[in-house]
Amino acid sequence: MQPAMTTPDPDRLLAELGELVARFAPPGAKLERSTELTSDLSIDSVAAMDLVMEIEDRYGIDVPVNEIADLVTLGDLVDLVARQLGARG
Amino acid sequence: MDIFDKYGTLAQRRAQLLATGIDPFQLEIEDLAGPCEATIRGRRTILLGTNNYLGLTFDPVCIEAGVEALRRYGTGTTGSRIANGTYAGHRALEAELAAFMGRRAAIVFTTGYQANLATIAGLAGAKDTIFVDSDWHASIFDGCLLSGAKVVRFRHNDPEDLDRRLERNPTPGGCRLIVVEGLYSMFGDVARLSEIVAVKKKHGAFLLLDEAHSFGVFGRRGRGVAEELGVEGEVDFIVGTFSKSLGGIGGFAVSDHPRFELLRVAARPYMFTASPGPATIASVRAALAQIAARPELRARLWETARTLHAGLVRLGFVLAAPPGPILSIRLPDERSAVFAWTSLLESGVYVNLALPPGTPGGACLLRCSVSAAHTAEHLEIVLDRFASLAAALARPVAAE
Repeated sequence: MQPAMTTPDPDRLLAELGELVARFAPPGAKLERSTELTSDLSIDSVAAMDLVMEIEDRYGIDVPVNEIADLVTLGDLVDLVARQLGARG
Repeated sequence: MDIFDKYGTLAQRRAQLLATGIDPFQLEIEDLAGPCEATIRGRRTILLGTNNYLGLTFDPVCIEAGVEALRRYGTGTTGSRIANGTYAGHRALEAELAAFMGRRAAIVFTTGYQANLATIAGLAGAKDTIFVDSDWHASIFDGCLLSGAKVVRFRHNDPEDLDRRLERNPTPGGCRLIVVEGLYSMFGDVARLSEIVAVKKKHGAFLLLDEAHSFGVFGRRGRGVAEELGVEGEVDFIVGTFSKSLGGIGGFAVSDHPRFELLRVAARPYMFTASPGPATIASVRAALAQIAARPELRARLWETARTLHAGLVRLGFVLAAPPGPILSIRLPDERSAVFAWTSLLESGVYVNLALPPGTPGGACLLRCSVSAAHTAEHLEIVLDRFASLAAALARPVAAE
């Protein structure tokens, strides 16, 4: 597991998460805050849970499954991870 | 906007499958000739994907028990367990299941799906955290969501990952419940239960084990993987189904917890549905007695599983797990999986086609399940058809 960040910079977090999301997205897909996970990147609900598990390992956090269903955009994902990192302190 | 618009991707994939001429997920079985043979699309077909592990669906004792109950008690209970749906048979089956599993109490549910839904949602609440294996069955997923608890997934069959996540989620003011399956239904791999139990004890969590596919199949008495691995005393709740080894429909949960019966007034999927019909209860009671009295059924199942596994490996197929009641063959992509499934069906062998998103890790699988009722002749035919399939898959046209 990589060292976790405690006070995430949103831009840096977007860039880092973009790298992880790219593994689940079609090659060359645009990865911005407004990018929609399902319609733009074809990341279905099952793939989203696998993606979140990669993110959990990267940052040493646990994202409740209940919150994954609410994710629409990459920005939502960034905000969710930022909240979890912030909650952990 | 149409209300079905949200299923755009799903509809597209379904249309592609239907274009092959057969819908693998709505296949009609026109007639049956025992537990392992059916007529499908007008052709006699060997069934190798029914989860009918002990072949008891056509056991004469079970059939007679069902017929007698049908005549004596009627076609249905027309009521829930908390109203007019508790008959003497329901109570008797619960007592027999508790005795068979060596537990203080058992509760019977109308389906296996509801057994998980009711037990998980009844046990866990808003202040609790559920730690669940990432290869969860839909009934476990739905039960977790229904509970209102915080749900944390851990990597499939990975006690070390479970340990880390329990460490990170102490859950002050609530309880922690671990949910795993004994035998995983897609790949056919067995839970690392001894190590999971050690993690559970370290953190003081509760453990729920779903033995849907392992009940009647694993363990000296057929109680499941917990018995096989000698850890029954550390498993707080076991859930099972009637629709596999017991050859019926319904489910159960057992426990030694002194307050377990509170689920009867707390678990909504138990309370607000009609109870299992009398014929089902009677045939399941008879099947349970058969499992207890005829250990040779399990021996035959395992012998068949080992023979088929070895034969498939010899033909060059990649199996997802060691020999067991579920033998899953990995195929490289959806197209070859659909081709293989269709080819087998057209040659008189039915297996399950398992595709993403219903499979872990996006795997494309031909899922076979073995039965104690499969004969040597069945196996010979099946392996012959798989040999033809292996040759077809090796040809460039099939692989392109």
